[in-house]
Amino acid sequence: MAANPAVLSAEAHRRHRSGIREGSRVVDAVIILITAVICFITLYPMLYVLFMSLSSVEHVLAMDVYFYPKGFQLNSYRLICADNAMWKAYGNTLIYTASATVLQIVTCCLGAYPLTVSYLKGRKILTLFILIPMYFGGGMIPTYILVSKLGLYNTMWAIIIPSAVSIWNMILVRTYFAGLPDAMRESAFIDGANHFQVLFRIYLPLSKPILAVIAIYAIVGMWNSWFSAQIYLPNADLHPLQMYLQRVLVQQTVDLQKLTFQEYEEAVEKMFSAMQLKYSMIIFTTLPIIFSYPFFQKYFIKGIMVGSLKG
Amino acid sequence: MKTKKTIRAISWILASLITLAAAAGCAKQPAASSEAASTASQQQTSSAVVEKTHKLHLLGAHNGGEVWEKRETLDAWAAWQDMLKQANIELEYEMVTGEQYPTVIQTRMSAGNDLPDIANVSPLDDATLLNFAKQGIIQELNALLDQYSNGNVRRMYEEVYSFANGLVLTEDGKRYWTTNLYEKTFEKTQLANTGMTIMVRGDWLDALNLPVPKTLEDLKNVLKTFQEKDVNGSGKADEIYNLNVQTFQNGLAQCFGLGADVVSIDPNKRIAVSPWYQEGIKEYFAYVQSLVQEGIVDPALIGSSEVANQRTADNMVGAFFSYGLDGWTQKKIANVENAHFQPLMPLTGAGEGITPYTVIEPGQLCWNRYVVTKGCTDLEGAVKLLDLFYSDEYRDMMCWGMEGKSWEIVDGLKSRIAYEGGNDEKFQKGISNGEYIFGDYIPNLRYAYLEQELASQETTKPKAVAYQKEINSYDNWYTNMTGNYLAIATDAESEEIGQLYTAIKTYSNELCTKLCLGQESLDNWDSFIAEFDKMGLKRLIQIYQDRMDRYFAVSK
Repeated sequence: MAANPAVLSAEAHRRHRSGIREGSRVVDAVIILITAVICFITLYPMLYVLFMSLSSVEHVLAMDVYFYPKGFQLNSYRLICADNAMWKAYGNTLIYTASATVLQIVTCCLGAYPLTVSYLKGRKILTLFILIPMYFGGGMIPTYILVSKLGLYNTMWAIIIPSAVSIWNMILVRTYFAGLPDAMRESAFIDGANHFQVLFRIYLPLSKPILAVIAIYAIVGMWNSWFSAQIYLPNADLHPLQMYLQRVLVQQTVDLQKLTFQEYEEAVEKMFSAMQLKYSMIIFTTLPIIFSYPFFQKYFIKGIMVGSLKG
Repeated sequence: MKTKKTIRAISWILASLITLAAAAGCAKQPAASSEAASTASQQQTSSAVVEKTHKLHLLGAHNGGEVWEKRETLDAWAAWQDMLKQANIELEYEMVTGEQYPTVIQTRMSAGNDLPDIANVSPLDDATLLNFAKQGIIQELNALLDQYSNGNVRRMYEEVYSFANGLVLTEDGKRYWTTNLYEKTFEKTQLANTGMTIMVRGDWLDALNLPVPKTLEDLKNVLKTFQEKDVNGSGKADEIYNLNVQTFQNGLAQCFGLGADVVSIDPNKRIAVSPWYQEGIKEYFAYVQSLVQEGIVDPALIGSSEVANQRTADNMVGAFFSYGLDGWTQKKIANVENAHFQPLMPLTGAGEGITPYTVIEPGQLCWNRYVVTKGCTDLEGAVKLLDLFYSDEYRDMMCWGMEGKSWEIVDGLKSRIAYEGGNDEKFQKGISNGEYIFGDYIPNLRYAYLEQELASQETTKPKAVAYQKEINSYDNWYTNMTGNYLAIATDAESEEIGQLYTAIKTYSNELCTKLCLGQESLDNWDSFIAEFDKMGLKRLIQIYQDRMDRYFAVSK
């Protein structure tokens, strides 16, 4: 259909009057400027931490580092790398993150698929049953007792098993599956496929975006999590990285007024050394998660829209 | 056909699961019974033949580290093992990092689950502990001591550290926990209090040839002169007084005779006071306002230890509040050799009839809490361990280490043997005391002699040593740790404190800041006091007074 010349002319007139033309350099410059400001606001905190981590202790204490490292040094990174406890925590976090991610993908897919089968009896009740604990938890102490009675307390399983299922992610996957045409499933059945074949050979290959999304959610969630470990893992050898980071940060925020004379000096020493170290720790613990995003980016934007467009 | 097969397969799986579950459930019971039977028979046999070995599980905060990993190379550890062997006690140490421990102990005690035999419950407050005691999660110790103790625990609390007995008994005479104990004396007869005071840059005083301030006016003049003469050479008037204006525990408020907290106690006069009702309060705020107006106190430091540390490192702090023996802060000042601080005796000149006070850390301390939990089945063993913890032998091992290696007798007093390389050298040589290994993981009993501590610092910190000797005989002081003179609160008192304290403290801190910065006028004084009255400050003072009276009634 040809465009109405009168409408086009009116549009051109409006643009001319406002002084904004397509391809205008002024507009481009303004947009680039705004984008740059937003980028700066977003990135600067991270850059600031990076600069502080590369600056000498004196400059960190004086807090006079703003746009580049002062008194460049890598000693804090050397200290961190030489710390066995940090590597142990790193290893634990990798185990927790990998396990939780794989298990969440498996459980989400296995849980979501039946919920999309329209002739499943009691599907609505089942969905409701699954949704309730998403909104109402058992509370900290009952959950603790459950974990303890199951013999998981103070073992890696206390972190892995409770995080193996994420109802929210399962609902996301279910929503994505529901968007796939039923006709595909029916034609697969006609060709002799069973449910497992439909799920693994047809649904999953078509669902890479949502799998990428829940994978990144699981990775980020587990990488940053510390509260479960705080409650269920008294053994420091099992601590994830975030607990290690917390230890470094807490040393710096100790309330000196509550200490005795003997404890005071030691706390002050720790406080000052931790002030420098914390910046390097933050960079060191954040890098893997930053680097993991590009690998998922291809599917991520597509998949993340699922939750926002379809409830 | 296919559906039938599926149903059959599911039925088989379910049947197998039920069978397995039933088998597992049944298998557990006989195992437990046999364990119980074996324990019972073991008990019978052991009591008949040899003394039973007591296996106990301890839980506490400890950050591990190299010292703990290599503890078996240390002489104090070997001594501790000997003590345990003689007492037929075997210990399982469960250690949780200090940052995590409050959550762990709170969760486990609340759930009443995974409880050790003896736990360090220091992160929990008295009211919470008494609540656990009511629920039976914590065991009452007096009955256990009557039944099993050799008398060590009571002797320590009633005779050796008699000041502490009133701090661990409830109003009805029950004892639910034991504590760390500490006493420092001076010249054998006097208690040694550690002074906390205003510290002024001694090297700046020397550089400008200024006398050590004796009065409040002197202090202000000195601080002004620091700025006027640009004593740090920065080219700016940035020499400041790092004054914590949010609270009263800052050394300066005490120069106006004010208590060190919203409710403070004066153990010498045996009265509980609040700075808000004391005489010098208005003069104090007027004085601080003048410091702020003259740019001597920097408002940017309020509530930010980072900024305060930055100013210190940047060689900008001319005065601050700390222990008189503080030798660590001066090391943080960047690029300045010979930087040091001069501790000040309480400054006079607050006004007629106002007696300057100071803040001290008392020479007798009682802190941390250790309890026997309901998870303890070997109560006799637990009491035996407590008796060991409160024995003279253990106390020497924890505090001093081994004779001839860690300490020797000099002039009739125990004296630490100095090693050039300090603790590191001692550690390499396998020498330590128990505190170096355990920290506060298990009860920590200490005693020390101030004269010896000062002798070792006489050459490095002569001004601080002189101050400490002088402050030790100064009679007007408030303690930095109010709890050291207060008996355990009753249920009703705990409830009232819970209702009153936080709101009053928050209001007090906010008002302090506003008054110091001149954001509130002293002209509205009556309305502030009316607000405190309304919030129940007088009742709070009365509760502290009652608790202190009870404490002194019990303690010698």
